[in-house]
Amino acid sequence: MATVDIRNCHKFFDRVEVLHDVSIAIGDGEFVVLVGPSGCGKSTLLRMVAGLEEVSLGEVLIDGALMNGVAPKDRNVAMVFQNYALYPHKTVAENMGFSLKLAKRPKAEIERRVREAAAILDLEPYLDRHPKQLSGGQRQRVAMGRAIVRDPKVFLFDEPLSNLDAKLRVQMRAEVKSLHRRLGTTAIYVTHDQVEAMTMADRIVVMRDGLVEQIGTPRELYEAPGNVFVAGFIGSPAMNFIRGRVRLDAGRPVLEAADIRLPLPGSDSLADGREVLFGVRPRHFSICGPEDPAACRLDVEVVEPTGDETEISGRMAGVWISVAFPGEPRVRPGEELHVAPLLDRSHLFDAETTQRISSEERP
Amino acid sequence: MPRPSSRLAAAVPAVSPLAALRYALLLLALAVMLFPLYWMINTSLKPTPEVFLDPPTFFSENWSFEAYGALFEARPIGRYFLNSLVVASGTTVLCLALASFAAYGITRFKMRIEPLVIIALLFIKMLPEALLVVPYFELISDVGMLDSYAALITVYSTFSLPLATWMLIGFFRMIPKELDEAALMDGATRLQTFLGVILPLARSGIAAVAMFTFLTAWNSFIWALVLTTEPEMYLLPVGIATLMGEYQVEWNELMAAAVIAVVPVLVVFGILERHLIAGITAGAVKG
Repeated sequence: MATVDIRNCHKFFDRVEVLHDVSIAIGDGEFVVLVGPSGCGKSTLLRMVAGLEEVSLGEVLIDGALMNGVAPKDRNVAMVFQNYALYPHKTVAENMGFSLKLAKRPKAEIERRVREAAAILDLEPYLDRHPKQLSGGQRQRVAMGRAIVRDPKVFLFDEPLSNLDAKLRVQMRAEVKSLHRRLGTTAIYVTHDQVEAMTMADRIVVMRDGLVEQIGTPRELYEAPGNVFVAGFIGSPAMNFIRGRVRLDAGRPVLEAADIRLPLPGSDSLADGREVLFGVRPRHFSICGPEDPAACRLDVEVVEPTGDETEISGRMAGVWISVAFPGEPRVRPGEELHVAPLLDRSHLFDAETTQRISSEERP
Repeated sequence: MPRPSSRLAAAVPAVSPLAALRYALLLLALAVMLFPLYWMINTSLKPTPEVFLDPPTFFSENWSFEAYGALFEARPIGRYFLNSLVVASGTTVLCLALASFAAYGITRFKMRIEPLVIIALLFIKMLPEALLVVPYFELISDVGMLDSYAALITVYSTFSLPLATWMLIGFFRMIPKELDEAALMDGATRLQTFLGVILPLARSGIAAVAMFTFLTAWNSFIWALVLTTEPEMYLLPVGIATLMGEYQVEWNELMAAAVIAVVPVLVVFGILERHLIAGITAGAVKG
């Protein structure tokens, strides 16, 4: 168990800077997920903590000790790779015990610890098999077993579930999470899947283009995304954005976008004429009549029932908008639907900086 | 309802005309390949008078090891054999040791000039050996290393090393780098990673390169001829060549020597061939 401190880290590949001044403080026993689109630098950051990539500038500390220049083997961190990276010529038991063997542990101890790890992961019947005789999920478990036998200070996961099929992924997601709860070891988990991030993380670090966009609990990121990127990235189905302009109507701010006029709740500090992005999640709409003051007309083009709810997409004020309602509303493509965004669950961003217009600005 | 005909068809798999033709062609090719080998053995076992019989005999009741006996009396063929074995094995070991480290380094560490190095390896292989005969002879004789195993092994290695490295680069590239990284994370040093994880996985590649290097050294004629002057130090190819007399050739003795030269080749191939099956890395990564 340990803390991990990433302080002002930069990474250059040749002359290209792939990580810009990243700082993340991870507490003891915390499960932190690094999430972002591919190429955002999240795997590189993880590999810097592992010691597989050099830190170009800045500091990485594990348990308060500076790790820059320390070889991976001397960091006492374990890593689970995306493609499992099991040693194909070794059995499951040998795979899991390899690190202990390298550490010159007595044979009896290696066997005991491998058995314990195998018991935790339901791998006992497979200890004498080779990786190629295992299914994808079993290989994934062996990869995790290899990490846990060592009792490392930190677990590093590099997209460990992305090679599994959807059903198995959900199952393994729960297993990783419950494993973490039982072991309590600090974990850093890299994924591009925001659902994985939301369901597993104690805290999420959203990254883009080598920059940290926002750090927070899943709830915080969902309720108060710091900018348009985080707002659009976190949550499924994704948030809708309508670009508009603030108009002061008798001192009260109103959003104007094409044929839409939405009173913005309570905020009177918004300057007249300010360009904003109005964000609202598909589930945060209600069906209303055309006479409702917040009614917006949606020209329905696609209706997708998924069982519990129905996702309806179409054009609103010239942009593509998705809304979702429980059950199966009676609406068909080509029809008009009037919906009202739940204003207290909407988000407002500055159109130019794409940053959130904080609630202080909109009391 | 029982259908005896279908049960019969299941018991005796039907051979389509196309498959039959394919097997016939394969058998023909096999016969063409094996015939010289058979003829070599056949001739080596014949007594001298029967060698030139017309029509030739494909099987003789007079088969005997007479020619082998005569050969061993006439020449120190055992010594040639030993020389060849030492040189070919030495070359193989030296080449594999150096080439595997080189290939590991080239495939595992970032290097700006990597493409250049790889092209250089191939380029060296393009130089005709004949071009280097005189300079190499001068070099070796100047340092007084003519008629020595060391000289032969060194020279053979210089010719085998580039291609051995090049081949191993291909095999090492197929082994995912994550395996190195997993071993490093497991607490291995680079050397432990190389010896404990990468080498065992590259076994088929190593076997292929070993076979290739051994056979090249075993068969090489020109360097054995140039770099040895003492009959004591002749290698098999040179020794066999000396059996060709100016006025007459004892074909059965010559063929007996050829059989002796071919045996190690067959043994090496027999041992290493089963390692050549690809797919040892199957299961390492997703799939």
